[in-house]
Amino acid sequence: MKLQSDARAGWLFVLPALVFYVTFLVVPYALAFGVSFAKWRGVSLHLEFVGLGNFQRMFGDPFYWKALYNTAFFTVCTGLIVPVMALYFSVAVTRKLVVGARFFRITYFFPNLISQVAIAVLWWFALNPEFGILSNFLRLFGLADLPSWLGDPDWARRCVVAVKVWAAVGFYMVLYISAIEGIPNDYYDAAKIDGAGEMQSFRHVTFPLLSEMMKVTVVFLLLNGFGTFDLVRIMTDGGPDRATETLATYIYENAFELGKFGYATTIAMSLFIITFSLALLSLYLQRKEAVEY
Amino acid sequence: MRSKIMVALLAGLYVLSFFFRGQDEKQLLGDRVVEGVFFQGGYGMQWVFDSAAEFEHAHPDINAYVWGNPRAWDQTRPRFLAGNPPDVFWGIQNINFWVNLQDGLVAPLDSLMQTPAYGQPDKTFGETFFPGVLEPGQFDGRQYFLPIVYNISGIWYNKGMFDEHGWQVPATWDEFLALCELIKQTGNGIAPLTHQGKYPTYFGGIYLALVYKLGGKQLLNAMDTLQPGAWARPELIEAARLSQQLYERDYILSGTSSFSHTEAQMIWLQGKAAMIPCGTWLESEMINALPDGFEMRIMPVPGFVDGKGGVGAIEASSDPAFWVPTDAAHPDWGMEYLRIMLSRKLAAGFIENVGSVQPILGSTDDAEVRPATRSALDAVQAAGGETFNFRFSSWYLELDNEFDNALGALLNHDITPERFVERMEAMAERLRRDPDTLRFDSEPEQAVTTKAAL
Repeated sequence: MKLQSDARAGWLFVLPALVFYVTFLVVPYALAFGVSFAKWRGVSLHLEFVGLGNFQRMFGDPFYWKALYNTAFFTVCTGLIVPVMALYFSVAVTRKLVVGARFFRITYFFPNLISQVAIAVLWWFALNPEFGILSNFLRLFGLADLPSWLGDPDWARRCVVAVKVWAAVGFYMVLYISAIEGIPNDYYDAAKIDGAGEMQSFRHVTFPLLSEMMKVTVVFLLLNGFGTFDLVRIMTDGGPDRATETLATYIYENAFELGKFGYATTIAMSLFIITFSLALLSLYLQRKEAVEY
Repeated sequence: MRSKIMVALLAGLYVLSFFFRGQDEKQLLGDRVVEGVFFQGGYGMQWVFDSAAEFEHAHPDINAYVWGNPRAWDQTRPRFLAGNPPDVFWGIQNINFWVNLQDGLVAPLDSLMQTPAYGQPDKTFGETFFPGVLEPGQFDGRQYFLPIVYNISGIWYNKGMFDEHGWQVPATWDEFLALCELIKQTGNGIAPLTHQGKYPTYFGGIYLALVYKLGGKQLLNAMDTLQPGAWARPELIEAARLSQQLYERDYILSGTSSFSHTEAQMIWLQGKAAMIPCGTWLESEMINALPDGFEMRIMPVPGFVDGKGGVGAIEASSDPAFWVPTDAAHPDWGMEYLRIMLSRKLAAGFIENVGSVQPILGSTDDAEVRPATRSALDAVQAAGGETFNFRFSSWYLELDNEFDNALGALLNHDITPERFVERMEAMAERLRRDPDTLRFDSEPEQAVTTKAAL
């Protein structure tokens, strides 16, 4: 009897959040699933069931594959570069290998205080080949014939990766720093007594104890990378020649510019399947107990 | 105790919300209200408010409720879905607005075109437009959309700079190339040309003009109506080659490929380049950045003596804009609103307010046209009224997007002229096979503009 009334009270507490969750998440997702099998222009309630037509179209659409490739490229690049750089900086800062460690801790975290839109606008200006700060800085060293950065397909892709890395490193650094600071000093002292230098301490103490955290952050980065939209939309608008088109910007183009909401939803479903699988992967990786000291 | 106070406070707020709440402005105006929603962009909103005042003056028993926003289209979308749209509407240009027609949301305006014009009872409303400007808003012979402005596009040059150096405005492409060479050699670092590289569609004005001047009206029509092979014709390859040549000969300001429209136009105003392609909106767009005494003038994209299109022919277009939603509460009032808004009287006001010209006959006599736009109207005269207008960009947005992308790649030398036309033809083929794409097949009206018209 007691148990039952507890359960009822529990439901009562959960209910408000659950109602919101169902109304604004579960129901729209379910509707989107339906729309992905329909032709819908998004301007009236006129909906036409087309079966797997949208999926057929998607598999035969070269722009879709290009967007998927670019999205994967951005995701993999940031997924590889960010953890390495964040690890490097956080070790340097926590192990006091640089002067002014506190200053760098704050500076590297700075981009996280700015919105993605502001970051995109900032870099868009900085990367202007004529009066941007980057080109002018390089010209100080006598470099001429500089690329037009966002105007060149290959460079535009690299620039997007660079900006994504710049914006993300600080956040992951904070995660790693807290993990490193959680490692008891005894471990390092013991390593020192055994004659280990800074490199060996890192290899045998810091890195193994951080590997769990690293795995999780990589999955975070992957999830984040597949949703890339705002940076690209502002810096390059997917260009030049779709060189930086991502799934999210291609969805936007189809839905809001071309009036193909049905097809756009189909692409969104494919994106959902990818990110959902990654989320499952992250749960799988986190199933192990965290290291306790 | 504290929680009781909280509950009392919340209850108090709830009660107060009945007294202090936002009011629906439209409902305040009563039952007889015509509602207009307009895209708020470079033209501002004054011309809209003026038209509302004129409407209320003509119909004292009806209130006009008008508003605008840069995101007017997104904001009204839910109302279209709910079947409760405004009575007259202009969303935005660069989206596929034809989907509204496909879903049956757009009311035909044929009856409106036959009614007497506002303030000119001896003419029908349809007769007051510049020749040829109504056709882009028609489908299957019926009128659905009406234009907002008359844009003339070509290459703008810095008149002061040209006078100072004694540079002559070229008529043919060969003369143009010679001029570019001269500027490069003697211009003290001034680049002959820049363009809005981030949006290659602006350079598209030069490219498509070259295509027209090589291939003439027949080719233009074949391309617009997606005839098989039209987008792979040799004239298109030649125009692509000529476009690339400007880069090969180093006539384009370095860094151009990444300039946004405002950046490129600003750089041109600063005198780093002598010429830039654009439409007549250029002057009003840059009006706040114009250096003292700066004079901008337009020239048609130079042509070919042996080409099929006239050497001096110039691009002039009036993109479809305004429409009346079928589900509106008062579609007839919406049409009446358009009849008044696009009248000769208000079009003259538009010229004074905004600086751009609306395609309404006589309006340019009633108001002072700014010198830059005047030079564009003069260029139409000088061409003997031979204007041209590619309609695929408004008919087939996907083709326009691919044109933009492929042209950017062509100018960047990432692809060859042959590959460029291959891509364009492939996209045309994709649209031909796509059952969802609305197909257009109308011929452009003979757009010969008489002197009286301008």
